[in-house]
Amino acid sequence: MNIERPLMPGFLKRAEQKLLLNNPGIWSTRIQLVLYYGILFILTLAALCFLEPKDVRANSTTEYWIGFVSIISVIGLIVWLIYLLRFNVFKKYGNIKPMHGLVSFILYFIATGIIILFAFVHPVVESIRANIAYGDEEIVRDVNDINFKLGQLEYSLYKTAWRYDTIVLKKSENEISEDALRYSDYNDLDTAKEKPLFFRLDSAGFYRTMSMTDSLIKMNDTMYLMYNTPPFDFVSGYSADDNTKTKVLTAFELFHKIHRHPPAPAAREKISKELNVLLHKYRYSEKLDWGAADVERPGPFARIYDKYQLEPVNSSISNVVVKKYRWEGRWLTEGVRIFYYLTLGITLLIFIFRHSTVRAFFLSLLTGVLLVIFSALLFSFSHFDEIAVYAMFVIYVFLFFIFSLAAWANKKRFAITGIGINLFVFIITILPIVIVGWCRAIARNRHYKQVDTPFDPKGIWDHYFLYAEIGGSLLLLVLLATYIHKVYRRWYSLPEN
Amino acid sequence: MHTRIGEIQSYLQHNDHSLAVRRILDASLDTADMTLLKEAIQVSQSYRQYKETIVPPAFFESAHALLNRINNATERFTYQTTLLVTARDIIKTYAAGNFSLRPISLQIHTGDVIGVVGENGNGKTTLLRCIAGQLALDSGDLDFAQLKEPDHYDIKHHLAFIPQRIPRWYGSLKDNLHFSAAISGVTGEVNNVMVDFMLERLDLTPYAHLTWSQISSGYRTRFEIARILLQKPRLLILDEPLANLDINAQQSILTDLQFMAKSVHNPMGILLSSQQLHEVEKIADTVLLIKNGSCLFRTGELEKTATAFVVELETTASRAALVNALNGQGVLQYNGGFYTITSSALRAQDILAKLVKGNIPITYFRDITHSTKRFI
Repeated sequence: MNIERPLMPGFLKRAEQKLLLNNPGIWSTRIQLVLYYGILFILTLAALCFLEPKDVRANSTTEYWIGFVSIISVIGLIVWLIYLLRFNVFKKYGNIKPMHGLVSFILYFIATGIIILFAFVHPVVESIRANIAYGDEEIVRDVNDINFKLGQLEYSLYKTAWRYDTIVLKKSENEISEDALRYSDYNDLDTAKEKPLFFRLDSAGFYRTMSMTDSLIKMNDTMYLMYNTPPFDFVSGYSADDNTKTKVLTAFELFHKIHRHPPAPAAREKISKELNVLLHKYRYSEKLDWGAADVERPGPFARIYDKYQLEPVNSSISNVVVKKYRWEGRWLTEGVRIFYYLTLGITLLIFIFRHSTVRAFFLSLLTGVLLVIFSALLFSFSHFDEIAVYAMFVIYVFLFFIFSLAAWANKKRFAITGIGINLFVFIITILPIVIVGWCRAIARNRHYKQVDTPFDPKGIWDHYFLYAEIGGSLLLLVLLATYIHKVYRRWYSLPEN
Repeated sequence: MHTRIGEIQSYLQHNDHSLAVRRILDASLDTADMTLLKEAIQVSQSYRQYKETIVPPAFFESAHALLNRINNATERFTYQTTLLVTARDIIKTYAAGNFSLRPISLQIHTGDVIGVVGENGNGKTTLLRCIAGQLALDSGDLDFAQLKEPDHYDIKHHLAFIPQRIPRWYGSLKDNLHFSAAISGVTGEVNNVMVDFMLERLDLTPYAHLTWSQISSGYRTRFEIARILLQKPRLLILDEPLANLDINAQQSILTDLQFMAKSVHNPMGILLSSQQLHEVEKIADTVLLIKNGSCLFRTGELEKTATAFVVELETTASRAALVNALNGQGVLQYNGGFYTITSSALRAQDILAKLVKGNIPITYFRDITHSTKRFI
C-alpha cells in the first residue's frame, strides 16, 4: 500500500491494510481515518481550549470558537468526502451483504458525528473548566454569604419602606381591562387609601400575583395591598441552585435573617474583610456586554452597587453559572438535538449520494427545494391550517414511497424513480414526528372546540414527540436494513435508456 | 511433460523470456496453488531485474525448477466450456431515433473471444453496452446461463465492461487493485498475492505506487484490465481496448486476453470491439462485422460464402505493371493507399508467386479472403 500520510502510526497503517484486504466496505468509508484523526484533533483542540488564557469568570468566547471550529469541521468534512468518494463497493457492483446499507449508514453517521463534534469541544471544555473552578454548592453558598454580609454592613437599608401594589379582584368581565390600568407609584398606605390606583385582575391573575407576593394587607373584601421585599439580594444566583441542596436566599429570606439579627459594631470590620475576600473571588473586570451598568435601581441600592462594585461580581457569577450548567436540562436536550439532526442530515445526503447517480442526486436536491417553495406558496395563499400542513407532508412521503416502488416495475433506470427514492430516504425519519404533530393538531382543535382550559398542561405530547423522534430513527434503521438497501440495489443497476 | 510446460520451456530455450515468464505466471495460477503462484511472481520479479541486461543462469534454474513443480500439478489444467450468455434478436433504438441496432443474436461461452469490428458510428459500442446490461433493450432478450433468476445487480457483478474512455480512478493504483479484488471476495493474503500476480502479469509493478495522473493512457488501459480481471468476471466486455496502446502492447494484450479467456483459474468469455481488424482476427474465435447496426458478416459462418480469393497489396509498382503481372487473372482496385486484388482463379500464394515472378516490389501483402476486411 502506498500510505504516506503524516501522523499515521504503524497500527493504523496495519488496520488500513487489513480492512482494505478483508473488508473493503468498511475500509472505503474511511471511518478508521476519521476516528483516528478526528479524535486526535478533538484532544488537541480540547488541550488548546484548556490552555486558553481566558478567566472562567469572563464572558464566554465559545461563539467565536464555534464559528472558527465550524470552518475546520467543514474543511474536515470536505477532506473526508474526497477520500470517501474514491471507492464505492455498491457502485462497483461488488459483493454486498444485506446489511451493507445499514452498516454503511451507521459508519457515515459516526464519521460525520465526529467531525460535527469538533464544534462542541470548546463549550464542553469551558463547562468543565467552570465546574473545576467553582463547585455547585460553593457558588450558592458564596452568593448567600455575599448578600448576607452586604445586608449586615448596610443594615440601614433594612429600614426602607416596602413597595406595594394595590390589587383588586375583578368581579365581572365588564370591568376595565387589565391592560388599561396603571401601575401605582405611591409608597404609603394613606395615599393608597385616598387615591387607589390599582391593578384590577381576574381571579387567575389575582391568585397568581398573591402567590408571589411577600406580604399583604387586606383593605376590604376585594382590595389587597401586596408588598414585595426590596432587592436585598444584591448578588443573583442565576439559577445556580437548581441542582443544589442549598438554595439561594431570596430577598425576603435575607430580610428576615438580617433584620432580626443586626450585626454588632465590633464585628463590622471582620465582616467587611470576609466580604472583600468573597467579592474578590468573583470580581472580574471586563467590559459588560449586556448593559448591566444601565440597570435602574432604587437610589440607595444603586449606591451599594457602586460602593462594592457588584456589577462585575454579578456578571462573573452569571458567566460562571452559564458555563457550568450549559449541559443541564433543556440545554442538554437542545445541544443533543442540534448535534443529532445536523449529523443525520449530512449523513443522509452522503448516503444518498453514495447510492444514487450524480444526476439523480442533484435533481433530488432541486426537486426538494422546488417542493418547499411550492408548499410555502400554497400555504400562504390558501390559508391552510396546521392540520393541512401536516397532512400535506404525509402525502409527500406517501408519494415518494410510491415513486420508489416503481423501481420494481421499471425496465429502465428513470431519474424520477431515483428522485422519489432519494426524497423518501431523506424525509422518512421525520414521518413519525409529523404524524404526532398531525394528531396533536387534531386533538388540540377538538379540545378548544369543547372546553376553554389549556391544552396539554402536563406536556404529555412533548413525550410523544420524543418517542416519535426515537421512533423515526429506528424506522430509518429498519428500512435501511430491509427496503432502502433493496430499492437502491434494484434501481441503480437497471439499464439506462 | 504437459504440452503447456513444454511450450514454456521452448520459449525459454529460444530466449523468448518475456513470453515464457507470462506463461509461467498463467500456468502457476491455473494450478490454484498459492505457493507456486508466489514462486512464479518471484521468478517474474527476478526476470524484470535483468531483462534490460543479460539474464543470469539463476533465473533459468529457478524457472525450470518451478516448471517441474507445475508439471506435477497439470491434472488441474482442464476446464469445461460452459455457456455464459445468449443474446437473442436484440434490438436497440435510441430515443433520438437516428440509430438502430438491428436484430443481433450471439452466444458466448467460457474461453470464447469474440471480436466486434466495424467503422465508427455503426453500433459496436451500442451492442457491447446492450450485452453489458448498461442499455435497455427495445426487444430481444439476454439470458445469462450461469445465473439463476438474476437481478441487474447480479448481472453487472457477473460481467465487467471496460469502456473506451476509462473513468478516472482516485487514490493509488495498487489500492484500487486491492479494493477491486476484495469487493469480489478475494480477501486476506490471497488478495495480496493476486494483486502482485496481476501487476507482474501485466508488467505493471513499477507503476503500482503511482496515481492516475502519473501514468500514460496505455498504462491506464492495462491497469483497468488488471483491476477488472481481479474481480474475476465471467464475461469481459471491452470497448476499443487497443485504442490507447502502442503496436507492441496491442499484440501483447490481445494474446494475453486470449490466454486469460481460457484460463483454468477463471475461464471467461471475452467480447471486444476494435478498429484493429487484423489484430482482432488473429486472436478472436468469432468476428462480427457491424455495419449500420446490422451484423454484416460473421467469421465461421458467412466466410464459407467467399467465392473469390482477395488480397491486399502495398507496392511502389505502377498499376500497369500489376495488371501485367496478374495476366488478367485478377481484378485490381486501388483505394489510394493499397491495392485489393480479387481473383476467382488464383489463391493468395499464387497471386504472390505471380507478383514475385513479375518483379513487383512488395511492401505489404495480406490474404483477406476469410477476413471481414473484404466487406469494408
